[in-house]
Amino acid sequence: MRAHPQWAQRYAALKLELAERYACDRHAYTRAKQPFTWEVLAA
Amino acid sequence: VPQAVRVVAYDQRWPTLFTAQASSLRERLGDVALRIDHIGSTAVPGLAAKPIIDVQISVAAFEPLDAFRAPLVGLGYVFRADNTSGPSGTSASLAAPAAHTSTSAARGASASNSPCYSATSCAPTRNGRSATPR
Repeated sequence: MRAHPQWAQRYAALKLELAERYACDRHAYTRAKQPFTWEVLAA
Repeated sequence: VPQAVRVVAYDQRWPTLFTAQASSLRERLGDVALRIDHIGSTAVPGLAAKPIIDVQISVAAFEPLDAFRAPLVGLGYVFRADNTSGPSGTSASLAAPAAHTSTSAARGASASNSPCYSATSCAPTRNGRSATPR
């Protein structure tokens, strides 16, 4: 992520969106981030 | 109690907060800590994140637990049981005073910990262990 700012940008946008959607459910927030995380790891 | 999710804009102070925390950790842990690394979103410059400084401490062996648990508890960290992010038996989790911290040890080879500087964070104080993927 440090080496690929474009991923970081997308990740930030996703996190802000999910934080709003799951504002009171940290576990749901974390789960919802995972597909992106795996996508990055697989890239 | 549900835990609120608060993602904030990148804060230039995060690396400094890590460095300060790492100094305290190094002082307490000495040679027990093979490495002390800033991990997670707050370690990525420019990335919006929950204001939690994740710190990973690498150790040579996961037992005896108190080799690193005791010094961390001495710093105000609380051992917790709800870190279920990985296979059990590969890491331990600790929560910090001002907020929370998790310490985990990779299979006999590393431990990690994460101080949280968020004023709004909720720190569970149960015990347990699990793994934190790098």
